[in-house]
Amino acid sequence: MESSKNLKIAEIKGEVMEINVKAKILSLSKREVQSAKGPLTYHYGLIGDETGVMPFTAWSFPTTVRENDVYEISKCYTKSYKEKLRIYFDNRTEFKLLTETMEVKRTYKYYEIKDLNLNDKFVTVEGLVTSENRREYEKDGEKKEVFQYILKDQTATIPLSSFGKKLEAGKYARIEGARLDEFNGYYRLNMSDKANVEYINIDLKDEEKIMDIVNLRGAVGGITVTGFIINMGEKSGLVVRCSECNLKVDDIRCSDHPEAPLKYDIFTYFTIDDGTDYLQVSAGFEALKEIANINREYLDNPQRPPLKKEVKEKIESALTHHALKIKGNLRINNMGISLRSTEISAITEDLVKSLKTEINGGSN
Amino acid sequence: MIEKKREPARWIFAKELRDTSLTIMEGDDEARKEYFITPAGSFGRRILFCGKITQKKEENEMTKMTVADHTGAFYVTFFSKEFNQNTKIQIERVNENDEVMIVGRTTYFKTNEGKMYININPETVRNISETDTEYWKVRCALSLNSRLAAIREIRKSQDIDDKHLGDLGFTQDEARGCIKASELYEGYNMGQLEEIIAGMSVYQFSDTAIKLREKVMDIIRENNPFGGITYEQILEKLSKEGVEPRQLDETLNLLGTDGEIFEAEKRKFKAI
Ligand SMILES: [Zn+2]
Repeated sequence: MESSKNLKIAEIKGEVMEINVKAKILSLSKREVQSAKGPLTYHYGLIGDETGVMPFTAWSFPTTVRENDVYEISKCYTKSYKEKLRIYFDNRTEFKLLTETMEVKRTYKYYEIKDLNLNDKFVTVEGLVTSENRREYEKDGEKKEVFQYILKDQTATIPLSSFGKKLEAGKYARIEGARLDEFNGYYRLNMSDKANVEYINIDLKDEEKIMDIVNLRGAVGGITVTGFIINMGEKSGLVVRCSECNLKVDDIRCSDHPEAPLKYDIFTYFTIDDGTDYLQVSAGFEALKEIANINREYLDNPQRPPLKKEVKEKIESALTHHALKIKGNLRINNMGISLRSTEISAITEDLVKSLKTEINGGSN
Repeated sequence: MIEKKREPARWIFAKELRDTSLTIMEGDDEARKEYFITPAGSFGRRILFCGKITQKKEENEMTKMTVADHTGAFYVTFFSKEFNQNTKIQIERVNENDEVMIVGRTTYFKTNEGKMYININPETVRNISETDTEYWKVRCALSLNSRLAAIREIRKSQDIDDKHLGDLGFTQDEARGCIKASELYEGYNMGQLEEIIAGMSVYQFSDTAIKLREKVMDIIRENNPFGGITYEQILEKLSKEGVEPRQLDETLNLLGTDGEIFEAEKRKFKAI
């Protein structure tokens, strides 16, 4: 009988039979599927050692195997599934629990910013490091500093906080081991001074990428979509704000600042449909001023205060049922994903022309 | 198949909708609904389209409109009811020859012979600019192109599943719709839909096509009162000049792309 081979994770190349590994179970999930022979349960997850990490599928699995334990695993094999190598365990595979600890070499999957999602929190990202902002804070009586940036790649933008490590603003960086989280509905990246940063000589093309709504995933920024505005929210139009706290006032004065004068503002929310899906969008003064032709003077004119009906009509006739291009930041709430727009403009002939270049003749 | 919070409006050309001869039932007993499924894998109960109103007739509480894109015509019927007075106002504002965008529900009518007609019950009707129409056409073509590519993948290997199509970059809707359509429209010839795409791709038309353009346009226009003219008849009229089918195809594509003509029936052309 052929004897099995002891391999480190990083040494496993291609499809091999009969190998032994010493590895830590990093994650473990169970799944039930319907097969021709009835329901079938299998396990899957990640294993790793000091050289790397690999996904596994277990057709058969001792119930004693647990996450974060280290095992000597013998008689397993690898197969390529969807062009990615996986390690497989079946009923011949043996697990021997080891008491030793193991430092696993983490590899962080690379994501384009638009594809970031909370299912994978430690990631590799790339992008132009822009708009530096330094802040000091105190932790355990010690003064520390954090540098805040906006990271921008070809697909989207995301805020990045670097704890203790100043990055080179204006350069294109590859960051390994940044941590993704969500705050107030927006995604952001955090990195410690242990994250690996490499600067790459890449010129980020300043071209706008139009996204299909169906492909929008995470709450990232700098997104551009197009589509027809199919309906507008009832409460769109003129809003009154407190000049002190900037909050919307429904009554005749702000309950917190009854002395403060009120000011007029505009706000709208609507649905945009691009044929792949639809998306909720909200827009304030900055995004609306040009397309709806409403300026500050018009809103602030004491001789002729803006009329509710007139403002609503201006916004409606500019937006509703037209094809528009909208830039903004995606936000996640319990209703799903929505876009806070920073810029709204009409679809131009040039944009149609550039979309047209994406059509590549019928059959291939 | 459908598990969305709200049913999306599908963007499809008139030709794709006209070639649609099947519906599928989805959902549980009470919520059971009838969805169209096109031969190119688009499915739904609502569509969004743009085009020119070629006909508008009002009779009592009913308004009938024909709206043409560069591939054919959409048939729109509106019944004025208490709940849809907003739409009624919108319909009153539009006239023949206007470019419009319409969102509407699809309803189905089957003849005894089993032929199905799809009528559109409008929810939104609005005048739009030519650029907006062009935008719709391009997005529609991109969507159709992608679904045709999915169907070609499915035809290549019968046991392909939606997961695999997802890995190839197709959306969930595209994968599901195209798998279903491939099953239901087994022998469907995608040639004409592919021609629509080819006609819209950024493509330099030959000098011959450009020279033939006016002549073919005149022939088609002359025959509009007779309900259009077939491909073969046009070719016959041009045969003396030695025009080949290939050249006529290209010219018709050119006229179609420019929105000058549409297919009134199978291979029968009319001027818009
Ligand atoms: Zn206040």
